[in-house]
Amino acid sequence: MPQTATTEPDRARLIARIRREFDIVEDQLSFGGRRLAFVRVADPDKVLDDVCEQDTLRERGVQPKRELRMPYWAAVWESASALGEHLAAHDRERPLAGLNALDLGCGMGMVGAVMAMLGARVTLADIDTAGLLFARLNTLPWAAQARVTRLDWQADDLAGRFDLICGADVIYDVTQWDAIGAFARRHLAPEGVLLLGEPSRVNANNFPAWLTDSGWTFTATERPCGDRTIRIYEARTAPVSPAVVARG
Amino acid sequence: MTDVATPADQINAFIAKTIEENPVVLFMKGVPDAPQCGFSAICVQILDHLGAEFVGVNVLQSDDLRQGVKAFTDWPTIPQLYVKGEFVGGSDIIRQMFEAGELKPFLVEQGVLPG
Repeated sequence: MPQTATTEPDRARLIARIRREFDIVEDQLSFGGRRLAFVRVADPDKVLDDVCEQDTLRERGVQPKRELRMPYWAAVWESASALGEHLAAHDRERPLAGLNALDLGCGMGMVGAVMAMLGARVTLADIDTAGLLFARLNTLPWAAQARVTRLDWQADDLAGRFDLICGADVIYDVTQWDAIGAFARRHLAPEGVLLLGEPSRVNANNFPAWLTDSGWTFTATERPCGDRTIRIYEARTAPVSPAVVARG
Repeated sequence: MTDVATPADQINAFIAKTIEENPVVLFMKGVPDAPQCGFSAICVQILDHLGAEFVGVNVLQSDDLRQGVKAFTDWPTIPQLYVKGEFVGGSDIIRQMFEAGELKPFLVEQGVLPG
C-alpha cells in the first residue's frame, strides 16, 4: 500500500524520537508475497543491559526512565514471524480485510502490522510503552486503520470487541493463562477467534488441556520456523455445533 | 569448563550438555556469588532461599554463549532457569512462581529438592 504524503513527517518524527533511546535497523520482510518494512531494535541485549543498569541505579535512588521490566518487547519472537506467515498464508480463504483485530502483547508490532497490511482494522496493545513506539512506526502506512495502546491484560479493558485476537508467544507463563483467557472472553466478538503462537516449549504442554477445561474449542497446527516448530492454536469460545462436526 | 567461544552448533551442544548433566541450571549475568544484574540476583536469592542446588552459567563470558542461550528456546532475555533439561522461565516467572508458593512444590515434584 502506498504511503500517503502526510505520514512522512510523522515517520521522521517518530524515528527521531525512537533513536533518542534505541539503535534501530529496518528489515525488509515478506508475508504471503507482500513486502513489509519492519523497524526493530538493532541489539535487544543492549536494551536488557540498560534495564539492568537502571534497576541497579534505582536501588541507589535514581528514578528509571520508565517502568522497569524484562524488555520482552525488544526482540522479535519467532512466534510472531510464524503467526504473520500463518495469517498471510490463509488470507485467501479467510480474508482479514475489514476484520476488527487485536495484536495482544504486540511488542514492536509485527503481527499487527501484517494484519493491517492485509486490510484489518487493528489495535496493537502491550504493557511496555517502548515497544508501542515501534508498533506505531511499523503500522504508519496504515495509520487510518491502526491504533496503538498500552494494555495490562490483567487489569485493563479495551473498548469494543474483536473478530480476531492474536498473541505471539504470550502463554509462556502458566500463571497468566487464566488472565489471558478471561481477557479474550471479554473482548472477542461472537464467533471471534483467539489465535496464539507458541514455540513448543515444555511449559506450554498442558495448554491444550487448559483450553478444553476452560470451555474453549480449538484446533492446533504446527508451523516450522527456522529449526523450531511453532504451535498455532486457533480457539473459539462458542461450542462447535454437533451438526457441523457431523458434516465435517 | 569447555571453551565456549565456538560456532553455534558447539554452543548448542554445550548448552544441551550443561542442562542434561545438571538438574538445575541458571543461565545468568555474573556468577551465583557475584551476580552482575538484579534480575539474576533475585533468581539466585530465590534458589538459595529454597535450598536448591544449582549450577550458574555466566553468559557474559562469551557473546556466542549469550546469543546461543537466547536462541536455544527462543527466549530473548537473561536470566533463564532450566530444571531437568527443560526451560522453566526468566526472572519474572521464577519470582511469580515463588511468590505464589508454586516454585518449591515444582522443584520437589521434579526431584531436585527434598520434599
